[in-house]
Amino acid sequence: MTLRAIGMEVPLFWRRSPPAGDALVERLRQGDLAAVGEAYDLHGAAVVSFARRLVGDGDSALDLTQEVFVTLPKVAKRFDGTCNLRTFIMGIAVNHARHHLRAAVRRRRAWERSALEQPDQTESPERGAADQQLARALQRALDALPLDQRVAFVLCEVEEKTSSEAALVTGAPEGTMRTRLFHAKRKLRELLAAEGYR
Amino acid sequence: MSDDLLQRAARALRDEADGHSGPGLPKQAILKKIEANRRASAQRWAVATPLVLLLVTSTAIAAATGALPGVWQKVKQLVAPAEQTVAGPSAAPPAPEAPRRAGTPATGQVRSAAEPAQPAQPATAPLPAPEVAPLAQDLAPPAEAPVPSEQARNEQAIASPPVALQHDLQVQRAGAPARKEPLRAADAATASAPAPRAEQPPAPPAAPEAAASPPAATAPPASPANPLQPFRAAQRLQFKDKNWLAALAAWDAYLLQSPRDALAPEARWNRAICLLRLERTAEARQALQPFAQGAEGGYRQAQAVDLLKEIDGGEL
Repeated sequence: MTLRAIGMEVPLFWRRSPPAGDALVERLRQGDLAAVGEAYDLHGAAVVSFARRLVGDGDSALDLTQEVFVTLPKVAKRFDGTCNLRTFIMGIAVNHARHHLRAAVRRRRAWERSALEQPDQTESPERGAADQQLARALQRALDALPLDQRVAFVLCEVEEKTSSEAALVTGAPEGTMRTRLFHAKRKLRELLAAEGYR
Repeated sequence: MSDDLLQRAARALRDEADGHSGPGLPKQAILKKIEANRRASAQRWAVATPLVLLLVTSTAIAAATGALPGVWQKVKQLVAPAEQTVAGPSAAPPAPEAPRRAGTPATGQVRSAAEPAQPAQPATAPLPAPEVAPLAQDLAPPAEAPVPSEQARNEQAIASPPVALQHDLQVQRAGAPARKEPLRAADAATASAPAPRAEQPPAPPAAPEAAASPPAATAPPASPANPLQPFRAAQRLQFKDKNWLAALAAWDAYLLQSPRDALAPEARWNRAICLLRLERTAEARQALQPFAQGAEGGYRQAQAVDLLKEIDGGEL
C-alpha cells in the first residue's frame, strides 16, 4: 500500500505539480468553498453511486460522501496530478470507507437477524426478482471479504474500471490489485455457491 | 459456479445501486459543515494560542527571575496531595484533629483526605538543613580582636558539612527513646532531604521586621502552615543580620514550639552560640553541657567540649 493510500503525506520531491490550468484544484487547495461546491456538482453523483456500491447501504453512502467532500479542501493539497480529480476523490472515499462499511455491515446483519429486509422504495416491477436476490446475495458475500478485496472487486467488476485505474484509486500497485481481485472472486464464488447459486 | 453468474451478480448490484435515486446529498449541508469545522478550528486556535503564549512567557519570566524552582516546587506540592488521593485512603490517612462533617459530600471527603499533607509540608518539598557555612562567620571574632589559634580550629571544626549533620541526626534518632507523638512529615522529609543551597529564598516577612529593631528581641510569629518558618527566621537573624539577641529569642520561641523537632538539636546549638556571642558565659556553658556529654546523640560533641575548654580557660 502506498503512502497516499494510507493517507500519509507524500514527500515533496515525489510530488508532481498539478496539471497546468487546473484552476478548480488550485481553488480547492486554497480552501475555496465555492470550489467544493463545483467539485460536488461535477463528481458528487459518481461518488455517491460508488459509495453505495462499496458500502451497500444508502445512508452510509451519503455519510461517506459528505465526509469525502468535507475533507476535500484539506486533502486537496496532496493531489499531485497523477490522476484526474474524480479518481482522487474516489481514493478519499476508499480511505474513509472502513468506518462506514463497518456500520453498514452491522446494520445489514441487524436486519437479517430481525428478518426484515431493507426497504426498497424505488423497486420497480420490471426488475427481475432473481437479479435482486442475486444482488443481495452478492452484498452479503462482499460483507465477508476483507476491505482491500472488497474494494478491488467493486472497482474492477462493479464499477468496471481497469486494474490500472483501480490501482490509481487505491494507491496500490496494479499487480496487487489483480491479486486482490483474484482472491475476492474466488471467495465470492465459494460464498455464493454456499448459498445455492451455481 | 461460473464466472457468468458472478458477472451477472455484479451487474445486478450495479443496477440496484443505480436504481436508488433517493434523496441526494444537499450541497449546502456539505458547505455548512465545512464552515462549521473551520469556525471550530479557529475557535480552538483563538483559545489555545493565548494560553500557550501565556505559559511560555510566564515560564520565561520565572526562569529569568530565578523563581522557576520555587514555582516548580509549589506545583509539585499541589500535585502531590492529588496523587496521594488517587493512590487511596491508605496513602494519606486523615488527621484526627480534622474531623469530617457528617454532611460532607464524597468529593469533600476526598479533599479532606488530602488536606493533612499540606500543613505538614509534603515530603517532596526540600527542607533546609541548618546553614553551617555562616556558622563559621558567626563564631569568628571581631576584626579588631586577635584570633587565637585554637579558636580558628574550632571554627573549622564547626563548619562541618551538612551531610555530617544529617548523619548525626539519624544516629540521634536511632538512639533516642520512642516518641510520644507521631513522627511528623517534616521530620521525615528533613531526614531524607538533600542539603539545601546557600541561595535559598529569603525567609519569612517577620524576619526583616525583627532585624529592623535590633534590641527588640522579639521572636517571629510561628505560622502553623510552615513549621520551618521560625527556624529560618532565627537563622536569618543570627547568620545574616547578626542580631544575637533577637536570634536568641527566635531560637527560644522555636524550641518552645518544636522541642522534639529534628532540627531542635541544631537550634539548641545555635542558641548556645548566641549566648556565647552575648557573652552570657554561664548560660552558654549550661547550654553546651548537654552537647559535650553526648546528650544529643554525639552531635557536635567534640566542638562543644572544645568550646567548654576555651570558656573554662577564659579564652571566651
